[in-house]
Amino acid sequence: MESFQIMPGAGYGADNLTLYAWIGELQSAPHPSFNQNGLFRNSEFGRALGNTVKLSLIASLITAVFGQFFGYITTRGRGKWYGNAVEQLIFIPYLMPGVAFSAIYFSMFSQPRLGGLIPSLYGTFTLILLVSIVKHFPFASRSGSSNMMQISVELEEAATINGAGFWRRIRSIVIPLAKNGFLSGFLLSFISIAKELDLIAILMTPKNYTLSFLAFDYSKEAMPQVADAICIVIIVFILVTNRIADKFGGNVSKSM
Amino acid sequence: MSKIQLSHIDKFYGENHVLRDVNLTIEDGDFMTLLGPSGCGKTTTLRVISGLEKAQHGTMTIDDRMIIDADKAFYEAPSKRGLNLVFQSYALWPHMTVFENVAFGLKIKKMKKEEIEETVMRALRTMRIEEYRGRYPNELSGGQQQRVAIARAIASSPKLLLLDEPLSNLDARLRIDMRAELKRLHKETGTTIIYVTHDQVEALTMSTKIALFKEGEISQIDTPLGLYTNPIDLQAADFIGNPRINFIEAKGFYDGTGLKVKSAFGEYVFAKEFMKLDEEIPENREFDCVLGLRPEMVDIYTEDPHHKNTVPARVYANQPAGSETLVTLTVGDTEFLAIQTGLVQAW
Ligand SMILES: Nc1ncnc2c1ncn2[C@@H]1O[C@H](COP(=O)(O)OP(=O)(O)OP(=O)(O)O)[C@@H](O)[C@H]1O
Ligand SMILES: [Mg+2]
Repeated sequence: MESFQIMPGAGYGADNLTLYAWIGELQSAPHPSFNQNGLFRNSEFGRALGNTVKLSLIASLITAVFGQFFGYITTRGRGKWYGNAVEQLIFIPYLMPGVAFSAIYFSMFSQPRLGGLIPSLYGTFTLILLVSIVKHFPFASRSGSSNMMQISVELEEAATINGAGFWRRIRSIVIPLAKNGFLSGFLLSFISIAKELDLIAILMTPKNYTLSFLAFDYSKEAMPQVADAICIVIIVFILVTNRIADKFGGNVSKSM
Repeated sequence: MSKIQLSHIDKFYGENHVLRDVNLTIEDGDFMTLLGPSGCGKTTTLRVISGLEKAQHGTMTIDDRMIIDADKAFYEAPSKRGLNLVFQSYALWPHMTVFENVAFGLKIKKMKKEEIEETVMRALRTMRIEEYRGRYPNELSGGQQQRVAIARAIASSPKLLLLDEPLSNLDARLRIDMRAELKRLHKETGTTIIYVTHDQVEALTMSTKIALFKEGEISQIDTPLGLYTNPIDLQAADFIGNPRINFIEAKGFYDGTGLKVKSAFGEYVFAKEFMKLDEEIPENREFDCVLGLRPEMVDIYTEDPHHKNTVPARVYANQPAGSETLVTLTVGDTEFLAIQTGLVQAW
């Protein structure tokens, strides 16, 4: 609601309401504390929106796909050495706080390593993407293994006896049955990446601003109205994606 | 239609020795039932035969073709063994229709479209479920699902059909119907069937042969009648037959001509020709033994029939159950059960 106010905390009377935070221009600012164009006229916002969409969609797609894949390995390899090993490894990133984690990345990638084999990734979208993926991987693979656990091994064994090889089993049995669980795993990491802040704050450069970081920035600059507007945009973005995912998977919430 | 030979099969799960030196020959066209209490290794045997598990020792041949040779680490791929398996849980693919479920294996074999259609419909007709071809498994009753599972297994015309307790999820009435159905299927197709159950009535009514399992070992292989009338040990005698066999403490004495058995029922002499002489029998010395008496072998008279093998008894309890009546009797301190056909009251 604050996003429609001129002065935050000054009530909701008609004289204190404005659309400035959304569409205002700097010349016509209703109050001197505004130092930016309204959201939809702000090029920073456009870029941040683009970054957020790109980051959250790509990162959550990748985490979800690999999460399901590793979930498959851990459930089918349960009790075997590779299943246990994978299960342990996956949870390492989960144990570290986001900031510490990105600090590691920061020092790892701020200069070229291995004689230039790994270029300096600092400030690139790739690094942020990488960090987001690793951070959310434990959740995704947990959701992946609970999803895979619901697909009875016997369904695959029945396919084996009927002559299906590994890839055929994955394609004809596992993927169709994992679809809904995959979508919910995707949404899980998607939502938290879309509003992710602490993890990627350290790695931000203006070019890579995401919506949540922009909101953080604005709220520091005494523009809480705009920051709030951004939060609303994030929520809308999440809801819209959720709807689209729903359309894809019939009813995702059913499988959650 | 094939002959299966398992020899010296050993299977471990970790430390757990689940199958112990299993030897089993299944003749062409047999309906072989693996019977035994829960956890004795029946499912494991099926999984070893089908190739879903690897045995650590032993060999298996189907029609003299080597399928398992554990010492050489040779295990033929499950799909190349010419068999199919019906899981206890049916394991129907929930995202495929009945038709697609049955057609799956045929598609993998790259059969032509018309041929698939024809083969699937033949399997569905055999199991009498043609009208459900477009339905999904969760739109079918348990019995119908089970038929689909069998249809899927027989569509590829396996030489060997493995069934793992397929009737255990059904209610009593449907179970009896499906028993008849399976028997008909066996007769019509002539397929060799290995059937797993822990229900002895199922085993006795359906099989041509029964292999009795006990803690991972096969204790006896015989025809249903053979198993019933000549159980190999007390446990086998106890496991087969419903109501259970009566065990009566007795003293035996063998003098080389016949076995004299003394018990609460008096004295009875078994002639030598009815004895199994390959076992060790102490001679000219009294020893403890147990008499096994099937409840239906007991005839009850209210008046003395003047027969030399009668003994006076008292009626202790009486349970009429419609087609039969269970009567608990005592002779001295010994209690035993008798079964009489029809409704018997009066005592
Ligand atoms: N995957 C496994 N890992 C370890 N132990 C197993 C496994 N599968 C079965 N077992 C053990 O092997 C033994 C035999 O199991 P199996 O499933 O063959 O029994 P069953 O005769 O089919 O019993 P039921 O009638 O209950 O189905 C059991 O003691 C069981 O605990
Ligand atoms: Mg079993």
